[in-house]
Amino acid sequence: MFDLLSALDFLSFGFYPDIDKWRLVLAIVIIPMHAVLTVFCVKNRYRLSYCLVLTLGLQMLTLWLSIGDGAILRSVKLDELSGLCLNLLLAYWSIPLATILAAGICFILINASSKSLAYILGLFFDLIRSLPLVTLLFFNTLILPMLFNPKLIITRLEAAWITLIFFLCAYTIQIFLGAYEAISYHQHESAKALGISGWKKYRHIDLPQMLKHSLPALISTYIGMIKDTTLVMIIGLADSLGNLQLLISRNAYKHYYIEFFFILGFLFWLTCTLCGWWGKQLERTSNYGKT
Amino acid sequence: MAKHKIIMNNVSAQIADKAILNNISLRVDDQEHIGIIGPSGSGKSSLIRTINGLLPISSGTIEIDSQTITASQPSADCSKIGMVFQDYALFPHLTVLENLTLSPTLRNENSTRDIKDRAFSLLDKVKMNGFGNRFPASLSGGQQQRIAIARCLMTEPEILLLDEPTSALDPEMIHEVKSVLEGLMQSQLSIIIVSHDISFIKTTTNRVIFMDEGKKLSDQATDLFFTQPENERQISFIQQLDH
Amino acid sequence: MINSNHRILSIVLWLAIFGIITAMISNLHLHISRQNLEFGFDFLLQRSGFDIGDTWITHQANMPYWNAILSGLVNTIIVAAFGIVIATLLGLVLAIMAKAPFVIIKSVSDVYINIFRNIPLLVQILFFHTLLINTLPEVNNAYTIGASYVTNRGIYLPTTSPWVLIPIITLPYFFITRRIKTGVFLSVISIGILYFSQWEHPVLNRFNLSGGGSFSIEWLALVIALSLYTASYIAEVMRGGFEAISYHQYETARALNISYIKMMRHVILPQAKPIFLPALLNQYLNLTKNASLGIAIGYPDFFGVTAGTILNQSGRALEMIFIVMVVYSLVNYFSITMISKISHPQWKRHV
Ligand SMILES: Nc1ncnc2c1ncn2[C@@H]1O[C@H](COP(=O)(O)OP(=O)(O)O)[C@@H](O)[C@H]1O
Ligand SMILES: [Mg+2]
Repeated sequence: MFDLLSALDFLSFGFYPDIDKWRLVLAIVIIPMHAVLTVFCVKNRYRLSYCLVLTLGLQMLTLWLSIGDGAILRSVKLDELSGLCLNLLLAYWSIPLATILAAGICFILINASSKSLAYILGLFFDLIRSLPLVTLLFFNTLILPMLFNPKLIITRLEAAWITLIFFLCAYTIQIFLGAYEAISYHQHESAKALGISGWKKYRHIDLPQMLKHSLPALISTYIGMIKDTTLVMIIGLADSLGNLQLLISRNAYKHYYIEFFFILGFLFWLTCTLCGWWGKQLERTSNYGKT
Repeated sequence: MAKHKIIMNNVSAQIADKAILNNISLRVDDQEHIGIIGPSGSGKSSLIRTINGLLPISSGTIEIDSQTITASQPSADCSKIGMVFQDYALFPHLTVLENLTLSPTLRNENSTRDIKDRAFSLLDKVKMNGFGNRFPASLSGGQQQRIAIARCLMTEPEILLLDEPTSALDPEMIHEVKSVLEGLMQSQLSIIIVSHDISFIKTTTNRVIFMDEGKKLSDQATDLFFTQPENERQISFIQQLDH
Repeated sequence: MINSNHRILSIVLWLAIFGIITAMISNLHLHISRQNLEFGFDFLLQRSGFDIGDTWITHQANMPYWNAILSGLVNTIIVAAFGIVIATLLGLVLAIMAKAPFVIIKSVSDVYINIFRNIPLLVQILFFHTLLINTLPEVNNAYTIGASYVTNRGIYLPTTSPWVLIPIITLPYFFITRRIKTGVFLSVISIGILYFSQWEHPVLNRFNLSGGGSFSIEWLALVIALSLYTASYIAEVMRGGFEAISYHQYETARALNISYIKMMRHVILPQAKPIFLPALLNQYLNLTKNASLGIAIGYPDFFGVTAGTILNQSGRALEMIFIVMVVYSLVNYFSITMISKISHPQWKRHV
């Protein structure tokens, strides 16, 4: 017989120090709360900047809870994060940031007076899109430490995090640009006739409509990102899949590999399904009077 | 002596090397109401779109008050110019009230309180009070067009450009929009209206311009335009309309 | 006023990009010179010094590096080709089931799509790999099917000259285009050729199998997982295409008393194909890129060979990164060009 609970514990928390697990649990609980709050903000049509502040605040909070050190909390190293929590937190730390970054870059791509700047940026993100995520993860762990000052040590997890953000950003930009194309030219004309242009036009007219048009595609990209966090196992991080491999290589758990794969598969299935359901709620709350 | 509000001198415009407007000169006086008619594709929309800079011109000059638009200096301050489009073009993600207040709020001209008050009084004017919190998608075409009219009045324009404001509407909605427009025509604005509704043009404008293939073919006082047409093309166009 | 703002923004961004790139290049230079690395591609001609077991183009230790890259590339292409064929067929079946008039058939397809789409591909690859290794017998207990052996290292088949396959591969074409006579004629000929040609059989030794051809267990796991996973996406894409077709078409077909399968084959599919083709090709591209996940189970595909073996062995990180980027960019560029040609026909108006 084996101890199912300790196996599950290993799958979800991995090597995270035992006495600090409550912090990780708290950080994970914040994720669905953030999702609910976002729907609430959309429903009550709060300003985009409030949502932005809320998002950044919660990101900082989860970061501080799970790896922060300071007066109150004991210091935990970023590399001690492990298990399913690592997958979830990596997804949570890259999805909002990548979306915000993509929205910013789209502004440049749409409005930049210098065509070559837009071209260079476009080329950079095209290159990212053309490479499989494994290759990016693999190479960035090698090359990022070389590209920065040698004094700045970039761990594998940091490299993976940066890679995930840029990877997701590249796809989000493509979705946003497609949504921008879908905005009718009447909108641009009436904005111009009302004297709204530049950042104000982007912020108040383009971006809200882009977000709405792109919601289904965005959600499926987010689900893709949740699934893709398992790829960090290939660069040797102890995420849930890596821990599972470790677990079933032990004699005690060897014969239960099917069960463990099913458990992990179910957990991912649940997360992705919840994310998809959340997307449906968002779509429903932002349909602007259409029936 | 009436002051000239808009002076267009030999204005031409092209889209992708295709000439859309050909050497058009036009004067619009203060508080004058001008109708533009002509077959579709003749450049009526293009003409009024040059005035608020939606269509850059390739030669000539347009003077609006003291500002001058040329080919090399395309943009002007269009806060004095309001425009209503054929297909309303309301912002679908904003409520009716937000549609009205967005532009003045972004310009920071007045306090939010004043802007809201103005929005409510305009909603009243277009007989749409009580609809402030609805979204455009839940309104009928005629209601949307009336909101669009109110929206362009929010910036207190001195010139109003109306591009076929009733063509996309069902007959019963045309009536409600027209009654709002007739109310507008009493005000102190300079108005240029493109329309195929001859009776409306006859009753509300001082002057009518006939266009074909990017050229201005005639420019007459409204009563003369229909009784003593001066152009062959114009005569056949008016005859077609009568049938 | 607005324009000048944008110009300042552009200049600032240009300076930022320029600054970041210079800083990065100088850091890179520092690293290269500090670690006495050299940069150049002439090492590709040198002797590689490692074997790759599982290839379609032989690679041995005395062959140069570029040959290893080539055999990795061929491996990727073959995995992708098998995966694309299986995934398309399975996806098509699932999509047709999803529109079927029977609730049970419909829900089978729905459940399949829901499950396989929502579980990470890498989990599926590792699962099938572990499953195959653990359930298939060791070499000394191999299942035998005719002259073929199934073991937990792979499937071993008798082989013959590849030319023999040509009539067999072309066979379906003649049957699909309804040239039955030619098809039957060719079948007879290919059976004859198969019978009389020289076969090389795999031989069961004490601890291994030698001779013949084989599909390794890694290859098998990778192809199965890629096909099952991508099939769920392809089914969604095709279902979207079917749904884009007016329901009048379905009703007309029903009114004409055409059977469900025949209606799909002759009425719906021809109309839906141009609608879903761009998205379908995009899925093919995804599958090809996902083949790089074979590195997790040690399958020597293009990425596994370049980034795994060669990089470890020669330490030529920058060169290998460059090669991988160039190859994937080219693949991507050509696919995207083709997809956009299909999805943006000439008649669409450009404003
Ligand atoms: N975006 C455009 N691209 C190309 N041609 C255009 C475009 N917009 C208008 N045109 C052309 O300009 C001419 C005048 O158009 P318009 O001013 O809209 O005519 P009207 O409003 O009188 O019907 C037409 O021949 C039309 O085909
Ligand atoms: Mg027009």
